[in-house]
Amino acid sequence: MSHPLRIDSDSSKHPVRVVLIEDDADLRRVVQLTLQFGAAWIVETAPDGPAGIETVKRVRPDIVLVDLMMPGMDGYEVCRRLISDATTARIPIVLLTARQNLDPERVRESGARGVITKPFDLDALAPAIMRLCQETTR
Amino acid sequence: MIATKQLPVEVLQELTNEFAAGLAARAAVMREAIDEIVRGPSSDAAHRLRLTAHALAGTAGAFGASELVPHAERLESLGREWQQGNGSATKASVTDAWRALDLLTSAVAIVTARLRIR
Repeated sequence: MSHPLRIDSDSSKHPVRVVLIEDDADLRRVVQLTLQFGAAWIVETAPDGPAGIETVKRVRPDIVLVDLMMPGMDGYEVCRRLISDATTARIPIVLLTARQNLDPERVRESGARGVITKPFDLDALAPAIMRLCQETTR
Repeated sequence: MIATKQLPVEVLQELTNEFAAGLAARAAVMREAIDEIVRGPSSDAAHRLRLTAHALAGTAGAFGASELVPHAERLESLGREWQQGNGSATKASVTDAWRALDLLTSAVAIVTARLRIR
């Protein structure tokens, strides 16, 4: 499904709003601050799938970043629930994962725009997210 | 192309210090999980080992602690293997896990010292 992203590369016109769902507190904070300081994005965070879904419904962000492997509800299930809900179905989702041996078919079926593999270069994170979201909306 | 700036050095250092301060606790969670499996099969402990090691493998690189990653990945792999075996472990795989944890612990000591004086 193509979604006309209202993301502007000039974040002063329309700051990109992101919800980051990540269970690791250290990574959650460094990614949040990197995107806030580095790209002037507005980043809300949640430590697990259920809290993340609630945050997405409340914030209606431009992008959702989801860790794939979390205790309880994993990233695939978060994707499934967001995409099956009409109020959140069109929000692009990017998966974050340390898994090198991802199943591309499962990622495709998840409806996510793509995957960023950890460890990632913090300075390159925002451009990588934008690239994934924009590539799939052409 | 999106314009990006680097995190201020003092902010990154504070985050790095917090990460370094938590490394011993992460290692302790993995040690307890292995101990529990040595006492008897435990899918919960295997899952805990897998998740803790996985989180560390994913996070360490962001803080410049990439030498922790291979040991964390080995422990994650063993945790997955044990979880698939309903929480039971062979003697050889337990030995392998202790070795990986010892290597990880040694690397943690080096990384912690390095990150805190950066």
